[in-house]
Amino acid sequence: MKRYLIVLGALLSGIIAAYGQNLDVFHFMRTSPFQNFDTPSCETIYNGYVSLPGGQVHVGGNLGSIRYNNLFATDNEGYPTTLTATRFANSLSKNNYLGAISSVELLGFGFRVKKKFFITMDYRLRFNTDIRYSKALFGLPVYGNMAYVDDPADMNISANVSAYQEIGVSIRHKINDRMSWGVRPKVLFGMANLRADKVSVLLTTDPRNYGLAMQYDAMIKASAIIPYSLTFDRDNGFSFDYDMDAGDIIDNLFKNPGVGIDLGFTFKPLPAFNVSFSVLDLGFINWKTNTTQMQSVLYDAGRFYEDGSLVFGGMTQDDIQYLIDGGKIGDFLDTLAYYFPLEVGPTKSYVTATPVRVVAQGDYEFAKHHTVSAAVQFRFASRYVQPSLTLAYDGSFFDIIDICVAYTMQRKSFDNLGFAIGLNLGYLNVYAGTQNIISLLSFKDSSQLTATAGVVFNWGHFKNWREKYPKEKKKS
Amino acid sequence: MLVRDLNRILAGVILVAFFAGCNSEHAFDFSRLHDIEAEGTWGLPLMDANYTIGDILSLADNPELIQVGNDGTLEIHYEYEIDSVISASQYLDSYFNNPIEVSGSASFPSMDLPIPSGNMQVLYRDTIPVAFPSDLVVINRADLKSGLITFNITYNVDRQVHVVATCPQIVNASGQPLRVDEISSNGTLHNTYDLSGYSLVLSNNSLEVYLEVSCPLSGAPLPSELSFSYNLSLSQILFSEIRGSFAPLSVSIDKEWDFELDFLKDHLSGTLTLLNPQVKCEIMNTFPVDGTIELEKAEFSGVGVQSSLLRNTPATIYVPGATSQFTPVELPLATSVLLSPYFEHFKLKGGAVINPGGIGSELVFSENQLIHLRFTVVLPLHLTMDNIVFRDTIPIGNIDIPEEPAFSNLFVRLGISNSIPLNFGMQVYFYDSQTQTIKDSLFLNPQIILSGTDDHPRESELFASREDLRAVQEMLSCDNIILRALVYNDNAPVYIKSDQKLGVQLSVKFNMDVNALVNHEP
Repeated sequence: MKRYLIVLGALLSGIIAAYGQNLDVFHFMRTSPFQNFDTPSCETIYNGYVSLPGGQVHVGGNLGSIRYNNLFATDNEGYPTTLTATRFANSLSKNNYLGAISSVELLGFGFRVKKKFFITMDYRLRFNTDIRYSKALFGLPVYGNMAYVDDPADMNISANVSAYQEIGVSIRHKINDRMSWGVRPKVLFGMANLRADKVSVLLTTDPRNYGLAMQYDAMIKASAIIPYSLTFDRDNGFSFDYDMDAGDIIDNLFKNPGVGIDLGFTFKPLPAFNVSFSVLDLGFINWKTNTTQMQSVLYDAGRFYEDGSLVFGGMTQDDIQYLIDGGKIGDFLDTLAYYFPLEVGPTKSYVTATPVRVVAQGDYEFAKHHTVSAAVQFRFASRYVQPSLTLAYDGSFFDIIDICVAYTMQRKSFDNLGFAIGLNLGYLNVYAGTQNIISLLSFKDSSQLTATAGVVFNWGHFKNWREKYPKEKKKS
Repeated sequence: MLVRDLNRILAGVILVAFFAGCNSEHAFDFSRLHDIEAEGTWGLPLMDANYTIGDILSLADNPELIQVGNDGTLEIHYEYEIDSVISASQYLDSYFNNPIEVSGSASFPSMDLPIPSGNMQVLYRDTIPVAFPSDLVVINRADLKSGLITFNITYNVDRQVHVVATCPQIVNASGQPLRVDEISSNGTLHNTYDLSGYSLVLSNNSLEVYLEVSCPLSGAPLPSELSFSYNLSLSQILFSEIRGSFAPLSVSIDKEWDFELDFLKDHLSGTLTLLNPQVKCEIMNTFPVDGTIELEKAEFSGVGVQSSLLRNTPATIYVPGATSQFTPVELPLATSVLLSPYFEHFKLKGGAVINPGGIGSELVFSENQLIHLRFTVVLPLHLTMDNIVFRDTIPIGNIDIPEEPAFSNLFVRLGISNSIPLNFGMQVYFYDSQTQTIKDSLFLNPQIILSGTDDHPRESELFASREDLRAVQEMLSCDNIILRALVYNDNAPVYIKSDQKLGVQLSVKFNMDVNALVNHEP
């Protein structure tokens, strides 16, 4: 009975704390030293480890409502025949998230110091894509503007796409048998960024006469270590050029500085139960190299401008006379371009925040080597909060095989069953897994695709671990 | 036990996932992807225009006829002008159209000749009276614009003769009398003299010409019996001015102008009653004497329709004399006139008289004197009307829309803001001129647009819908749209002003099948 109560408590603690986006399935794998990435205060079972260049690779994409079966209808043979735009639009929430994450560890190692401290250092390349878009972005062309007479069609999208280097040093300190904390200060060096703070079109339709009023605003900034030029003029459109000069790229490699920090705290109220709280990737990058800004604000270019909006209630008698006299509708459309001036050019340095995650987790070891966990995460990116709840099971079998199964639910995505397997081959640990094994079963209904793999050399199990899990002797 | 079960379950999940993942080999083969399933409802504003009455009437063929009065009321302006109701010249040129001729002859023995004085022998002397008989004028002095005097003299003297005719009552500009001095030797003299620029100074409409024929003393012997004959004629007499007494000059007036308000003809059927017609009648009379004009008719007319501007007829207008500028004169106007699209003409009929007192004191009539009559008809659109039908045919050509339209459930909204104080019962017809049939109407029934005022425009909404766009295809296959509106105000007087307007908001709502739109092949 007590066991079940604790499991329930673990679940509740996660639910109360937060909802979050997916935690990597390896996060729940006790034998993985990479658990430390998501919970700096967690206990590492080894005395030390070294990962090879490329020793851990993680790629993942969260497409939100963009699922194959939402987008396409297929014939009997499985060929897509119809783009089911209405079904797709119906599946969207008012705000939607589209994200992709990948990281490659170039160098990583950790070691224990005086039992109470575990210190790690890692150097990773990270790539984050966070795109938030409103339902109306697709809803308007699918439903038509008459679906938005009560509420304006708020078509907006914001995005933050970043590639950067991360060099982190973490210290985990065990205060006593019940509490520990961890911190990972990080130095970041940006490589490329595209930040769309706001690309917004608000279209209002008068329910009576269908008059249209549009507000518009767009601001996009970009930076890269590769020298490039982006220009725009109305007649020739965009012009993009770049120079892959290795010397310039190397010079710029460390010119977009940033800092970040991961914080964690773990409390173990019972020997088999612990809860932990983490704040991850709290930081920013100051982008300085080859910064470019694209800005467009609705401009008062004539009679269609009214109080900050582009207003069209129909052609006036002058317009009609113009058409009667041989004018073309296209002439009107040409003049509309002047309401949307686009300014493209170099800009000052700017700052982007790294997507912050807040994690609360409870773990309960209900049997030897078998643990269930519940974790809630909030991920803050592109003015969008992505909560998720993960329930996980992790078990070790024969001291060789680690199996982890994790189920995650998040907004518009309830079918994320993760699976990971790890092999402990002496000093060598090999991991592989996915966050959404159902995507293999039926990717057409999946919105998430992730894969992670890692190879780590480790040595020496920590004394507490050894004491807790003494080697089983084979029965003769 | 639990662990063992878990191992089996996980192994099963992995196997199922692996094999299921292999069932989607065509999932990303988009070669058969042709359709888009999306049908949205769109509403678009097409037109938001304000048409003032002034705008609409400016499209008429003769917008200059429409003017705006001081209070903004529209006025139809016509100006009818008779340059010369009566012209003095027409009388001055007609008094003596026929030549005036005087003839005479004489025979006598040569022995009766008077004793010559000097070296010339007077053969014949005579005073020839020339009369200008007329009941219309008694001329004291008349300046000739043109005229010819012809002498035709025969004689039986076989010598060179000297003929002298003196006319003291025909004088030139410097006062010198006309004198004819000719030599003839063949028994006849025929000569014509131009009297242009001369003046006749008459006494009781007559003058005298003194004739003298003489010859040298030497020469062929004179016949024992001398005979002379003469003929004097005055012809082509036209006066530039006559000073004298005149009988009354009268002319009839019968003038007709085209009625040119094509907008009425082209678009309206029914009759408007204009409540406050204004006619400005101006006369300039340069005769030195008063006159009168009697108008029997001043009316718009057409086949079977007419409307008089005059309250009663004939209307007598007193015309003061000796005016060098237009002088307004009063007319007994009707309190209202009808304005019909069937009007074709404006007619003036009557007569004019100058010098109605007749022969009396001396007057001077010169050729440039006349009576100039100008009629300015102002018809303010202060009117009543009932059951007027406005109709306009708008050619639209054949609009091609797809055979399988991507659009359905068309809904048309016409929002009208009416500040015109007239109600309209409107319908739109689609007319095929080839088959001369009306194929459809936009509205099920005529739609009512209620009257409004400048301060309180009245809002009306007109709706039309078609579920099946084939009906729209049928409509648009027609080549004409006929706009028909019954215009009425229950005979209440209204002012039609230039700035009264119809605000027209045309908007459409429709379902758009994206698939049909994308896959339609033009």
